[in-house]
Amino acid sequence: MASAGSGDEKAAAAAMITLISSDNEKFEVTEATATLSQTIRHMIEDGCTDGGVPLPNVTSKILARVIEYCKKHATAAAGEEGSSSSFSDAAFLEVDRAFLEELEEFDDAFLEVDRATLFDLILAANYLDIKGLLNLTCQKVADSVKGKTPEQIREMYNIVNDLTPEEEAEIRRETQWAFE
Amino acid sequence: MATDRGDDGEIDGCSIGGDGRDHISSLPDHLLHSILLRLPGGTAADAARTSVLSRRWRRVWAHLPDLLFYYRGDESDDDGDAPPTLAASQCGARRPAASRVGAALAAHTAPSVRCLDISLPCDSSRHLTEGHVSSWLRFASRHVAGELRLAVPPFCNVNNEGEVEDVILLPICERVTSIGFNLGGNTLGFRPPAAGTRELEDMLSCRCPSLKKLELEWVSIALQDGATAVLSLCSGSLEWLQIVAIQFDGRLQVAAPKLRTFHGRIIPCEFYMAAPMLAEFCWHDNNCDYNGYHPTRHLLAVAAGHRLRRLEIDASSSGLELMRRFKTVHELDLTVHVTQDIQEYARFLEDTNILASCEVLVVRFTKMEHTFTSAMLHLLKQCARVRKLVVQLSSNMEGRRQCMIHGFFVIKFEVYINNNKYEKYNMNLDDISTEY
Repeated sequence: MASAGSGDEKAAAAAMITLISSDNEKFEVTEATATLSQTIRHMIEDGCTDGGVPLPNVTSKILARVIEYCKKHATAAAGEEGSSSSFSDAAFLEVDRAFLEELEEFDDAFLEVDRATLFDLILAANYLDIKGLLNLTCQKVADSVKGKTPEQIREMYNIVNDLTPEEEAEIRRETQWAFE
Repeated sequence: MATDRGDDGEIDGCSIGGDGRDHISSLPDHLLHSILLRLPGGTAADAARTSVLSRRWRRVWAHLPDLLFYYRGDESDDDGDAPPTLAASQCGARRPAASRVGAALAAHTAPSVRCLDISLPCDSSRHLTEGHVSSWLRFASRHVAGELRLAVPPFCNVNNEGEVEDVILLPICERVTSIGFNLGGNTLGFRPPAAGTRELEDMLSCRCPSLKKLELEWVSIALQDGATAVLSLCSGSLEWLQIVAIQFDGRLQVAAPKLRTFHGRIIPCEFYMAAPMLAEFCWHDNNCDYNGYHPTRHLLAVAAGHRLRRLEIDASSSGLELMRRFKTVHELDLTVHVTQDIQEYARFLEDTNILASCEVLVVRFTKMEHTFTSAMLHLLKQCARVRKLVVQLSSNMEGRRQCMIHGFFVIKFEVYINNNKYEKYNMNLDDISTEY
C-alpha cells in the first residue's frame, strides 16, 4: 500500500502535459510549468488534456519563450510555497532576496526581444491567462513611452495619425483636463 | 509572423523599428488598458493624453476600468513628469484639480468602474467644496463596482452657530466592495433612515450591501435631523475595518458577523463592537493615554476564550489592559516606547508581568532608554510558549546595524526558540546585544 502511494506521488510529480503550437510543434512540459497558465489549468481540471493541448493562437517560436518563462517562474512559485510563513514580513530572509534578484535578472533578460515578439508575448499571455507574464510585458510597453511626446510614440510604434488637425484640436479640448 | 531583425532589438530607443506594422493599435482594448494603467504615474490623466495619438486611441482611455487621480501639492506641477510637449498650450487657464477630476468623470463612458481613487493635495482645499465630493460620490454610486478611495484635505466650514455646514453624504453604493475615506477632518453625514426603520440600524448594509472593507481616517461623523447619537454600522458582508482619528460625539456601534480584521487608532468616542469572527485586532494609542483603550468607553463583545490569530498593541497600560481580554493569541505584536523616566520603566515592567500566551512574539522598540537586554528578557519570561521571536529596533536605538525598510531605519532579527530552552534564547539575546 505504501509503495502504491509513493508511486502515485511520483506519477503526480512527473505528470507531463503536451502543448501543441499553431504550427503543430509539440512541447512536453511538467504540470507545474503548464498550470502557470490559468487557461491550461482549467483544461487539466476538466480532464481534457489527453492527446495534448492544441494552442491555435500561439506559434512555436512564441510558445517556446512562454514555456521558458513558465519554467523559471514555476520553480519560483514552488520555492514560495516551501517557505510558507504566517509572518507578514518574513520575506526578509537573505535566501529569498537572492532568489528574487535572480528572478528579476531573468525577467529583464527575457524582455530583450524585438517589438513584434513582445506584442506576440502579450497576446499569448492574455490567451493563456498567465498573469505574471502579462504584467511583465505590458509594463515593458508602458515604460517604453515614458517621457515621450505623442509624435515620438507614433513613430516608435508605427501608429499612423489619421486625425485631421480639426479633430486633433477637438480631442485636445475634450481632454484638456488631462493636459492641464 | 515575428521578425528577428537587428534594428528592432531596442524598444526603448526612438528608432523606427521592426516590420513597420502598428502592433500596439491592433491590441484589444482591455490589453491597451493594461498598458495604460501601467504608465509611469498610472493616473487617468496619463492615460487620457494618449487620446491624441490616432482615431483608434481617441476613446480607449474613456473605458479605463480603474480611474486614479493623484494630484500632489503645488498645483503648478501636479501632473508629475508630463513632457512639455504633452502639456496644455494655455497653461495660464489651469483649472483646480477638483474641477479637472469632474471633467474627467464627465467624459468617462464605461458603464462600470473597478476602482475610483481620488487623492488631492492639501493646497487644493480652497477650491474644493462639498459639491465636488458629492458629485464624485454620485459617480461612484452609479458606476463603481469594486473599490472607492477618497483622500481630500479639510475644507468644511463651520458657521457662526458652530454647526457644520458642508457635510458629505454617503450615497447608496450597491456594488462597492471597498471604501477608503481620508477626509482630512471633514464631516461625513448620515441621514436618518426612512420612516419605520429602527434607529440607524442596517445603515451600512442598506447603503453598501457588498462592502467587505471599510477604512475611515480623519473623518468627523454627524447625524442629521436630531437623530440619536448612535451610529450603527451593521454589515453582514464587512470583513476588514480600519478606523483612524474619528471625531464623533455619540457612540459608534459595529455589528459585523463576518469581520476578521480590525485596525483602530485614535478613537476617542464610545465604540462598541460585536465581531464573533475577529481574527486580527490592532489598536494603537500613539503614546497618548487619552487615545488608548478604555474599558468603559470601548466595548468589545467577544466570547470568553476567544482566540485571536494576531493582536497588535502598544505595550502601554491601556494597550496591555486590552490584551488581558484575550488569554491566548497566536501572534502578539507589542510596540514598546519607554523613555528614561525610571517610573515609566517600572510601570512598563509591572504592566508586562502577565502577557497573553502566544506562539509568535513580535516586539517593536520605538524607544527604549533602559537596558535593552533586560527589558527583552523580562518580556520573554512571561511567554513560555513562544516559538518564534521577532525584534525590531528603530534607528534611535544607538549602535545598531541599520537597514532601510519602508523609509524607516529598522533593524530586525528573528530568533527561533525550540523546546523553551532558556539558555538558547539567553545566548541569542547576548549575541544580539553585543553583535549589533
